[in-house]
Amino acid sequence: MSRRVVWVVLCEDEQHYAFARRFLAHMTQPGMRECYKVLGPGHQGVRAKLGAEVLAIRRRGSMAALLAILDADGHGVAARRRYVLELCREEEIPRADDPVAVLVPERNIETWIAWLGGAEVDAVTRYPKLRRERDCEPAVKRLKELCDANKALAEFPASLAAACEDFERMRRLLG
Amino acid sequence: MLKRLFVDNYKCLVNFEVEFQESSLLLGANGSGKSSILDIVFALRLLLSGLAKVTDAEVFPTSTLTRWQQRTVQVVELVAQIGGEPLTYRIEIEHEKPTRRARLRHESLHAGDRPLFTFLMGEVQLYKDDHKVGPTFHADPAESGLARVAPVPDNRRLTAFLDWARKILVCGLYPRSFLAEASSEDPLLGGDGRNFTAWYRHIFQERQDLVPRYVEAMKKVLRGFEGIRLERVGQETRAFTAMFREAGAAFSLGLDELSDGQRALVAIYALVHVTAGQGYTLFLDEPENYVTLAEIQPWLDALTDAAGHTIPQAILCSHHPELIDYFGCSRSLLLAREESGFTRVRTVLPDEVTPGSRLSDFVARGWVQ
Repeated sequence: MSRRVVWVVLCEDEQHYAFARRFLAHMTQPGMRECYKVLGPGHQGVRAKLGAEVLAIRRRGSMAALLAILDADGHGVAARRRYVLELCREEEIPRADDPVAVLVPERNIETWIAWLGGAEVDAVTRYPKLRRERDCEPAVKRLKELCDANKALAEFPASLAAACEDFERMRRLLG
Repeated sequence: MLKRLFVDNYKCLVNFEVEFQESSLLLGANGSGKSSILDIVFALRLLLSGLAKVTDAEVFPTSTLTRWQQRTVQVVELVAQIGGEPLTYRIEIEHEKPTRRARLRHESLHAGDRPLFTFLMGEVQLYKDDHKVGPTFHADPAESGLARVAPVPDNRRLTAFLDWARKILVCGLYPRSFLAEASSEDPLLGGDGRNFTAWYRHIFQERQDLVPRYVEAMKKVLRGFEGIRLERVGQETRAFTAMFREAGAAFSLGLDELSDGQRALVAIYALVHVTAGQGYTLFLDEPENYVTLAEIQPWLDALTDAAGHTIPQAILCSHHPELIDYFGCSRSLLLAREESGFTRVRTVLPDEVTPGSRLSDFVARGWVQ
């Protein structure tokens, strides 16, 4: 990724954006990235905006990428992905060669943050929100360390492992 | 951090109360009172800096009394979170309409319900940090008595409050007015940013270590930008000079030679980066003016990263859709005038906006008001 890429972050809330932006800051080349926040807000908002954003990103070729983030909220990752794609027309559905990832933390993004903070987590418990969104920085740093160390994704919570794999696919696409 | 502000009988603000977060956006129709809030904060800043009398033009002149009220007393009360404790500062200003004279009939600072300072009928009563009664003295009720109190070892809480109040920056930047040269330093950035160079000189003297980060940020937003020099152009005078490199050639431009948008970027990034870690609170009126659409979000990201971290607090006023959608429902405060004329503030509820719609679209259509 040696070009300047605009990463559009379509997210439910501020915590999603804070996590995604910090993650991108750690995982992409400095100066080669712009972030642009599109607040849903809420999962309904992400769902309603996804199709148009996919089309917009596809037109930009490898100059733009889309991270859509919505919590599973106890519905399960697969069901949440189906839900968010339901309103997309056929051409709006992300393809494998689109720099688009739909990330679904299970149960919430706080689950990932708690696990990265060293806690045992499950997909049912509702983990506490952080006092400030930016307090996710240590968790993001830990994720970067784990990725750099090629830590086996099998040890990750399943939804985080899937997100990491999807992100790697996007990085390969963007070159 | 300013947590709560109560205002009564000031312009359109009658029995008005608002609570702030670390970063908030004030929204609302013209005349709803957004700028009045900033004016009040600026007035308090001037008053508590000991730089102004209550009736001075930018403080509480009699013309700021609410026109449809007959009462002649204005009240401002704020709660500031200082060093982990809430401190309550209150003033009551009594105006004499025919002569346009005014005096502070009450000024106080409390921690909880226990006093740290009172100024009643021209008599200041000081209290020590442990609330034991301290000395008294007479003061001019046309000015803040609190601003006259010198820091001593047993009034650290009061001093911390004054330090906080004196580091509030209230700006509605007008880049075309920026003066490129300054013959002295100025710790107070003026409301329109006219004295930006003098203020930058002051900051530069105090914290040169913050400049590299500022320059790095500017390199990302100004094409060809390489750095800033305070160039000597007279015995005491320095000129704010931006250095560039384009097509292999180095050149410099004075602040007044930059475009309005470039000047605005220079100023708004300075507000984020060279104020870091010094306790500055920012109240900014339409900071996105003169800045292109693509330049707004990167700055907002920088600002919100700083707010509550390197800057205690940033409160913005704007009508701009980019800011409205960035702050969203959760961090926007909507001001609206009721039939009675009173201004009220409320948060925007997420279900007021249809899923997938932009909050700014709903505001534009008058559906959120």
